Amino acid sequence: MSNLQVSTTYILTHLGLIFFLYPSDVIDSTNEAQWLPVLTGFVFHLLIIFVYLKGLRYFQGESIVNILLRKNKIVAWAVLLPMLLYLSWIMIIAVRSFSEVISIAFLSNTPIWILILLLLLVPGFMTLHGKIGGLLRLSIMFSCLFVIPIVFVLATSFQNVDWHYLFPLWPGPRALHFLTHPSFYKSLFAYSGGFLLLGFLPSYTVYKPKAVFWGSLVILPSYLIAVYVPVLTLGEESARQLQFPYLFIVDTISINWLMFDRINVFLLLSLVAFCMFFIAATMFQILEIVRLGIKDISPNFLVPILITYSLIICLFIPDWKTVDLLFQWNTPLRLYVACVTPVVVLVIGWLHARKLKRELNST
Amino acid sequence: MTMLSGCWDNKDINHRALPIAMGISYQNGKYKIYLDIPKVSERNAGIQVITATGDSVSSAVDNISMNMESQLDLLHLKVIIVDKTFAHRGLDEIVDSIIRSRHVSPKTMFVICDEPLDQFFKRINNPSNGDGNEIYDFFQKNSGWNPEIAYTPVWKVFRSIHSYTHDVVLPVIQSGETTAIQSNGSGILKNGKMVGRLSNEQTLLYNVFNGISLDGKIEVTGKATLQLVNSHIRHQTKLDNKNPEMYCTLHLNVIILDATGHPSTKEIKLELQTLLQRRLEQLLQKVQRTQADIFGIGQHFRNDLTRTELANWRTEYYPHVKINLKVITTIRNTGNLKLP
Repeated sequence: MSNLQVSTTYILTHLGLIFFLYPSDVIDSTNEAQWLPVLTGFVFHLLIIFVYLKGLRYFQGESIVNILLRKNKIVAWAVLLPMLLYLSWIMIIAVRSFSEVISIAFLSNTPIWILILLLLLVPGFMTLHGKIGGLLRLSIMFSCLFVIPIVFVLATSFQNVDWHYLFPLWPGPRALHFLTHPSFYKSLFAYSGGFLLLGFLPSYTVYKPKAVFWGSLVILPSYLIAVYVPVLTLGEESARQLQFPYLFIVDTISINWLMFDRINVFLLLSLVAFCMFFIAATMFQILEIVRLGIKDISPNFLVPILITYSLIICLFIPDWKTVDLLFQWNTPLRLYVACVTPVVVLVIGWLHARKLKRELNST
Repeated sequence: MTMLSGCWDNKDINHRALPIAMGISYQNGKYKIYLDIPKVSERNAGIQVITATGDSVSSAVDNISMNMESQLDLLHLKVIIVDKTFAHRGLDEIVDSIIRSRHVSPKTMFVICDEPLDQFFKRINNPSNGDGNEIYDFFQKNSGWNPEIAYTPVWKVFRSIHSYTHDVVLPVIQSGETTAIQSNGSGILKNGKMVGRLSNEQTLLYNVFNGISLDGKIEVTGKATLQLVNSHIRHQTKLDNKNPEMYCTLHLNVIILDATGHPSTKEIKLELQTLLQRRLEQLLQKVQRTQADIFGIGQHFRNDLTRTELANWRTEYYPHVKINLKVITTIRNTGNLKLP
């Protein structure tokens, strides 16, 4: 059961990130053969997860914060501090951008601060009351509730595709040109947003790495669909004009026998739930770092503080352009966290294992 | 408070006006907007046409909204009718603003009107015509739509504006003598601007060629009348030194409805083949002159051309395209009478 919970948690935290900003970043990063940036990102994702889980395996049942802090304090904080900064940063960006998405997509009359508050209070409540066990169980419930609408929308979004847009599959000598485009690195957030959570789980539940890799097989098609359905329906040139290409495509689906005119609502409501789940998971990670690393303050105080300060910062972000800019600035930090954290955990784990072995031999 | 956020500033449905059709005409630098709003009353009859002018489409809509007692909601707009001058001038701006604002669904149909919109709206809303929903029903696939009528939602026009290899046709209509609406073929749109016309028959061929499945279409060939049961088309392509060539095999499944002068089934098949080939040739020549790739032929050459070459598809390659059409007809049955 706990393996299943970890799989669904892992899938949900990622699904919430894929369908909004990710497609337009990938489409911006290359003119043709979008599968190259998608698969490159995915391989990168698998690689960091593999290294990360490998490192965590050396310590049974310990949270990443404890693992890091038992050794050199300086190394620990060189990893934990960027991580803390990154998590709070991504939480604020997530809240702010999802509120804007909701505002653009369906609640255009609602003031933005209400949406921000909603996106902070609900996840705050989830973290405060459920703790991590609650979140894990919630992931099962969310999957049961939303798997049918999501699969339905994903399947019907193929309604207007023109498969000719798939070609050319290999773009020739400019194939790896996307690696020089900043949008590609921006798109990596959809891969690095949720993986840190895996390090916080071991002290609460036992899971096999296989559960995570099975989960990643489920999200790979979502990455491809989110990028390819807009490209196949509209072509690269038109898809590039759109802010949220996938949401637009879902708007163009027409189903005669369905009584709902805009099936976008199904997708959006499910995704908003996943986004809230993602925000709750991020909040939990911030709490863990603060409580285990700095001072054990009761979550009853920490969560309201976190919510208030996130709300204030979110209100200081005036427009979509700034959100985009914050995303762009976030890239180096994201790459640092995604690359350094797994490697440091692996090295510490390896040293730890060698020390244990030596001690075992000497006795 | 948080529970209420979904209903913020909400207006009840009886305080909303939900137009089903919008007309846009362009005269002397001003836009004139017509909105077809069904009356919501106890007797539930008729339709209300509201007009306003403005410097842009949205300012004209604003003018209407200002002068109306209820909130104007374009979410359920089904048809946008533009006049010919506006279509010649280009639909790119209005399409952009529709897609940007999200107030109008991208599934809304675009239609070109052959007569002045004033007259059109007056005549179609004549109470003797019916309940006022004709303009909506006319284009619905589950009611009045026919295979001779083009079917082009906003998002396809949007694709055509930015695409290298995709153009669209829009239906052309006017108010009819005995029916509310009469179809006058379709208009060829290149990058959002109307550049030519197709007849009703040519539109049918366009629909067949683009693989829209057609049920119950009657095709007259001089010797017989056939009903198309279904059709599908296969394409093969060859690019020979800037001369794109296309080999198409059209499979038609027909039922004979009517035969004059006892033709054999073989004769009918031959006749159908030559007729379709001739029509397609005429049609292709016509659209090649306008350089609008309404069949999306360039799509089939994406593998052979680089992206920069593809960007010049309409001017450099498209005028030299040759199509070889082969028609394979299956006469499924000949009705209740035998044929030789």
